[in-house]
Amino acid sequence: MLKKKAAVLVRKLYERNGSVPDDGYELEWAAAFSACLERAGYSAEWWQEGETWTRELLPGVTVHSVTDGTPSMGTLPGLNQAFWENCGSYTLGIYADPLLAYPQVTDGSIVLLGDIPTPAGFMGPAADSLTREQQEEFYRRVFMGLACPGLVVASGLHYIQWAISTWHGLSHKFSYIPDCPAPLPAAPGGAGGDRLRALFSAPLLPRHGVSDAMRAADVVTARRQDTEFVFTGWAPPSIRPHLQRWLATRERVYWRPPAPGDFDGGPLVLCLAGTGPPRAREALAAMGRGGILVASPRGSLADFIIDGHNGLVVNPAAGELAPAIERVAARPSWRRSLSHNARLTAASYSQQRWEENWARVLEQARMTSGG
Amino acid sequence: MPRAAIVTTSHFHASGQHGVYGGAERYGVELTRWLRAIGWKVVWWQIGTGWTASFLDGVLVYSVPVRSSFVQTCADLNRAFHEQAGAVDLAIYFVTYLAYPQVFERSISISHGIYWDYPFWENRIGGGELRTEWLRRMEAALSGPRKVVSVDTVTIAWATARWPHLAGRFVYIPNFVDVTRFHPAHRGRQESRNLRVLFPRRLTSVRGIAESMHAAEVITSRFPHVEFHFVGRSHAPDHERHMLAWAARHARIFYYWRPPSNMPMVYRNMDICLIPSKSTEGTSLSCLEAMASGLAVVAGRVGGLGDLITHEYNGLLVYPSAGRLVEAIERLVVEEDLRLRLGERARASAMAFALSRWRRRWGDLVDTVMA
Repeated sequence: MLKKKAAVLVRKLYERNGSVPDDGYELEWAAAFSACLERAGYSAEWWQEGETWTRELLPGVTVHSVTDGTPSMGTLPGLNQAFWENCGSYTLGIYADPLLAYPQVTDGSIVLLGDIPTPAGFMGPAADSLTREQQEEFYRRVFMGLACPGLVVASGLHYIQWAISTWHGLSHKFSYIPDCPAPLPAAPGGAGGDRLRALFSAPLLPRHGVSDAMRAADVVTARRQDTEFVFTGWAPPSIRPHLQRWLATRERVYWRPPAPGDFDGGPLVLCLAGTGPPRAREALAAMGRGGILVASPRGSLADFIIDGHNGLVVNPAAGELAPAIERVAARPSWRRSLSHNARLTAASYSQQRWEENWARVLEQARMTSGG
Repeated sequence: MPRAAIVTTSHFHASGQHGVYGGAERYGVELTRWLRAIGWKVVWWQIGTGWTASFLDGVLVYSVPVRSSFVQTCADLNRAFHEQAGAVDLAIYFVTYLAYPQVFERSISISHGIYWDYPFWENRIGGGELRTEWLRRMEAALSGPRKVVSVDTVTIAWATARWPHLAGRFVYIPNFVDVTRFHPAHRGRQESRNLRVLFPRRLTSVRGIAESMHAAEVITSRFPHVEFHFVGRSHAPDHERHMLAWAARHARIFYYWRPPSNMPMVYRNMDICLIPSKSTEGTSLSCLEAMASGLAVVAGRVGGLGDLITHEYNGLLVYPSAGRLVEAIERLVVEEDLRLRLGERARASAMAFALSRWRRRWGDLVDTVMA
């Protein structure tokens, strides 16, 4: 029997020249999603912006790149057109964000919503130059990207609420599929100890909140001898010398590669992303090992956290982060309870459930399109 | 004695004849009680015909005639409050838009949740420039006070996506439950009586009354050991008469209401609770009370309910259509282990919303604002 075909349009899995990115989070997700599609009876194919190369993500799963010379306000109309031309006859076209679904979508189509779309989120500092009218145009395109595809799959309740509070008529289009934990390498023995470890595993970039984490490290480690801060994320070469100098003058603050067992022993896992989608798969994996998320009140991580029960919801500014960490450090029994409940919560987000949810949505999309 | 002035729209009915009994008003009573307990003199202002009333043994409420509420703001009330409240140490704008156009220097406003996500709102506010003007006033109202308390995280996500400069303004303080008054009935598996499903809300569209009535008819026809209890008042006597007549036509469907002091007992005698809100929802007090009472909760995936319920961990979150509601209730009726597990975890997670914790957070906030 011929397999159904699904094509997925993303911004970036590989670098524009086809090289593997330093941060492999998106590639890991793409591999998991390809496997999910495969199990649902689809062969997957990926498309992204780049210098016109083709690579293999997994055996039999290719990634094509197309150069887009017409990017505009976070949209890539040239890439969108190429995708439509090449994959328009496929069973399903899946767009990784609403602006990729602008201006046209394939017959059977799904758009993913993994963040609240904002000009700054898509355009970075260039968004500062947008006039009011241009901002309105940005949101008009977002609306088209949400309204035109057959279904919208949101990975966070915030994203659904944002959309239906902005455009009331869209609520019926949404399916909610929260992420599932990324696989974690097994850890030998139990890690942890008497010290409370605060772990920052995201790339050491401002948009992930590294500056606030560093400021909190200064405050907390100076006040409490029973705490330590560990940074395990990738850092761009330009900041490494500064980071080394900063570390050299601190006690109990470390930067090292990630290691199995990092999330064991109930560490506080700092998820402080200011803009951009949160790294939910990683966060859930951490919870599954007993890691206690300390997360911003914005984004899908808030779906997993019941503040004070299995994690902490904190405004990601050092002035609020440091006291929150100290409160946990001061109450070991609460810390154990948070860690225990985090583990139980993560078990509700199994990969199997994620794939079942997706299988249901894929079938719904296929039926809707008549594919 | 420091003096706090609180302005709201309707703690009492506009006639001054009787109090309004909703979640926000209960919040107001608890806030007033706590402020007085820590030594504050509290005075309220609201919309009315010029009467003065009191509650909680001597807390005065002054009413102010309001001529208009252009684009859902009450500039008249705001101005009168500023004229009449005089030298206050702390002003609390009990509804966010009441902090427009002016605010006292030391001030806090409270967001009880997103209220602009119901379909009628679109028409009520008017389109085009009126909507733009509403947004302008909302931004001004959120920018003025020193801090904005949000009872849920979705409001923070919505507002800060649109206005990133407000990120530091928000303080997440979810609603509360008295876990000593609301507690489980200390019983095991039910063998001797019918399984009871509770709808403990006002009989309004946004609370999902129509979908719940449909679900009650379907479920009671399928399962002879299940009964439904609708416990709540309507805004209109006609609706209550209709509900009474409808319930009388169905075996095992009951409609009545109870005074607040009896609600803990009502919850204790139930097994499943429906909070199928479709819009205008914060961190529902009813949901928290059901959780604290150890019920398995089925909630709509809107507003702040996602801050209380983590899907499949301590309750079920559904798109609040009649069909989805029936599916979820049926699951809980059939799967006793799931029902009991969700109820136990609901109780455990409700402890994170204990009244004592809410008071401590408010204490920290008032200290910050007064510093």
